[in-house]
Amino acid sequence: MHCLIETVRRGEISKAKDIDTERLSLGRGADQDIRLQSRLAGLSHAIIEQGNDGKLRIRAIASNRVLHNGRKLAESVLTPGDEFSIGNVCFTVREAPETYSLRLEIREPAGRSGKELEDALLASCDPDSGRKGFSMRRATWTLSLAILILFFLTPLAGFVYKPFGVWLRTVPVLSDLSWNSGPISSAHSFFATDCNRCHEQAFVSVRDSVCTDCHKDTPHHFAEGFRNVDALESNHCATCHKEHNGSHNPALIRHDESLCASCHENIKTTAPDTRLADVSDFGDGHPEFKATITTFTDDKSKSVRIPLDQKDRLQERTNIEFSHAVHLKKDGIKSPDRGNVRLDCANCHQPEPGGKYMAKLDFESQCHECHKLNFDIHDPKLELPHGDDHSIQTFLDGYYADRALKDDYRLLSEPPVAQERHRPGEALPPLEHMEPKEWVTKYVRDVDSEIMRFRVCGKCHTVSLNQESNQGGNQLQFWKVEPVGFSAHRFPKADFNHDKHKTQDCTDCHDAEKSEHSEDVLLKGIASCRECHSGIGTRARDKVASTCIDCHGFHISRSLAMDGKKLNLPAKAESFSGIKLPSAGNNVNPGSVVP
Amino acid sequence: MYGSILNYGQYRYLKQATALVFIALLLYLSAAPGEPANGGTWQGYTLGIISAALILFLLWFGIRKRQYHCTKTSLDRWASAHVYLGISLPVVVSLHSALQFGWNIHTLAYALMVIVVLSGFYGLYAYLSFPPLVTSIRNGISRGEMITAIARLDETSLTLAENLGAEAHHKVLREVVETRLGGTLWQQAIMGARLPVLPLLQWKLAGSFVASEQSALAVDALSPKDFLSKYLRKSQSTAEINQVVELLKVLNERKSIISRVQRDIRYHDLMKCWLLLHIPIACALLVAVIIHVISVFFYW
Repeated sequence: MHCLIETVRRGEISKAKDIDTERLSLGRGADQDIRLQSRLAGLSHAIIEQGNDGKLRIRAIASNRVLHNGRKLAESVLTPGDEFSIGNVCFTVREAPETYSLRLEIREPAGRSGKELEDALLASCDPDSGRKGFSMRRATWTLSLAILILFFLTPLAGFVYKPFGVWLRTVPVLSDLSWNSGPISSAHSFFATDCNRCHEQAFVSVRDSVCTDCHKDTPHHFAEGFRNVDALESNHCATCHKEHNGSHNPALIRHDESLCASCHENIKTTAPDTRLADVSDFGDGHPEFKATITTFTDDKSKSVRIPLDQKDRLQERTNIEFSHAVHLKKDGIKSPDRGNVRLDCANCHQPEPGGKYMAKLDFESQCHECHKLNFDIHDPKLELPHGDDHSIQTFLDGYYADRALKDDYRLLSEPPVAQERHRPGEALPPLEHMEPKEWVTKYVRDVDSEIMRFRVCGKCHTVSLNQESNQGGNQLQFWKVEPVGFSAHRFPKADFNHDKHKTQDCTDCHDAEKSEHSEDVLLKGIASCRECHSGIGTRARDKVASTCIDCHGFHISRSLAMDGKKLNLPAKAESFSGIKLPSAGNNVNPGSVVP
Repeated sequence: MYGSILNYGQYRYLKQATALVFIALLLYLSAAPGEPANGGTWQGYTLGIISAALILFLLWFGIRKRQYHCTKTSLDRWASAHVYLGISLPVVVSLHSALQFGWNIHTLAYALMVIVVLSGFYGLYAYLSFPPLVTSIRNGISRGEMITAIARLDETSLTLAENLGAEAHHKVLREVVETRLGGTLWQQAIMGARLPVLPLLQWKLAGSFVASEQSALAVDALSPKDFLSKYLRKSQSTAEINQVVELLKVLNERKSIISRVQRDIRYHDLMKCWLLLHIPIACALLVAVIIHVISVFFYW
């Protein structure tokens, strides 16, 4: 192997040497073909030799290494243009002239050998020496850009191009779901992954129309006349109904009283024309309840609301005579069949299905067992029909006409014609027909008057002369039962649930045991509620904290919807009409017999 | 200086950070009972604004400490404020978030904040603990001076080894070449196992000191135990033994200085390593916070 070794100093070839050898040895030792001055070179550091394939190879001896083209190697192929170094001596492989196998250029640095060692030590201090280490700047940029792309630009692209956005939502994290500020409430969970169902435009808060698209005909808070109440008109659905607060989100329907009290504490400020009283807290800032009192006359009812503390006005004319005190006597009340029976509230008052309200009362289920409608001593089991004056009169007409036809006067005073003897089968002369007929009419009138005023009907009902029957020159006087009615809901503007209070005694709220008249309104008032309930503001720890929304609704208008449309909701039933009562069924406890 | 970070101005910033936390707590507790605490109430927005301002202030420390010309406020003061307000940050942010977490950018920002603050805690610990150790290691000498001393001992040992022959030189040269004073964090972590232990006197084998490839390979292959047994069996001339003893002395001295430099570098790296987490994640946190704010109002 014929080698041309050139030593370069200050850019010029200072020395050239021809060497002809099989293996060109490089090292610090005196016996080396190329002697290296570097302190970091071994005495015999490396050799260059030509392989069978004609390629030149440099091979470091034992654990020595050569820095070849920037990499520390034990062995590598040399081609013209390659650079390698041993210690601080640098070699460049040049294109060899024709007669040479190798042309090597050597550059030896000037300077102390101790400096070389020191430089090597200093290089070993630097963590980045010889390799690409961790770069803080690169890490910063990588991390920041990754977050920017993954959590902003990608969801943004999905928002701009909707099909991409829809696809993105099938990929975890990447979509605009990563902007979700909290879980959707369970009520809205069926479209929880469709952000744009509510968030239609960027940087525009959720519009009311989005809500009313589904929540059609949601009643407004007030009737149309109050529309311009700024406190409500300036707010949106989302002002009160806060989403993204968890699947069982208490804020979706706000229960705190501060929301209501912000207006109702000083309601005149918000709505100067209102007749509502100020309310701030159930415990100490709520007026006495107003009970609905209904007056029934001629099938028409008229309701007024009277505070429960105005006892003198608190009378409801029900047109029925009933004493709770008598019926609830501790030693029982006499029954026609079972002796003394002790009654309690539940014998008559039963809850409706669902338990919220009490069922309507009716005669057949609640009264009839004791209050028989028999009217004639000779037919003690025969009873009058209940519920219709006209039917009673027709019934009496028929009954006594039948008796007259059958000549069955018994102990009654017969008409004179009936006292005369006739041959069997002989018809009465026409004039004589009139006598029994008149007798029946007169007798029925007497019985009607008696049962209506004193005995059967009149025992419980308010009765009056039927003016219509006396018109047209007919001098017969018939009586009629005045229509019976009760207020269906004493507090139609509140939401009371009997079922939730079934652990309490009825008498905790209803003063029934002392009531002798059906006109009495048997409600004790707010004080009895406050024995168990308090507001939030009063912070009574030993009571049930009750906020406005526990009893009152917000969306209560019956004429105006939230979206401004007119509503035509039927008014709540204010009264039970006694005349058209359906049967309450046989679910009534007959009461216990007093031994 | 490190002491003054904590007690600057008679704990002025500790007091201010405590007051800030107290105000944040009051804000949090004043939230209306009708709505669960969250970042969307006015209290939540206020706490969010405070948190964002705190983050910007804390990030500004990275810029301020490079403003060498700025002398209005001392860097001690900035560092003290950075530490105490940085500690208050997770409290304020937790109240802002009301600990509502999910797989979203908001929680990512929270997590990044926690990592930055935790790494900051380590940094505070490092700055308070390691400087005294470094002082005791250096013992009045700079690192550069120690490295110069090592280079001088390297040269001496190589010269001595050259006189002892090719194998001795090869062995000592390997030690010199393979000496690592610093290195990457990983190398630092395993540095203990790499301290030079001088399995050195392996060159003294029977036979001639020929600079041959085979003998060098044989030296590399021998374990220290094998070598010592062979070495002790060989009788040496007094001059040669003296040279070996001298070489051992030099190498031992070199070893002790290398050990000091390595520990010095290691402590410095331990004082700096947390910044590799602290700074990139703090910057990522800034990006996440900006996205957090934009996204909240994007889908308002």
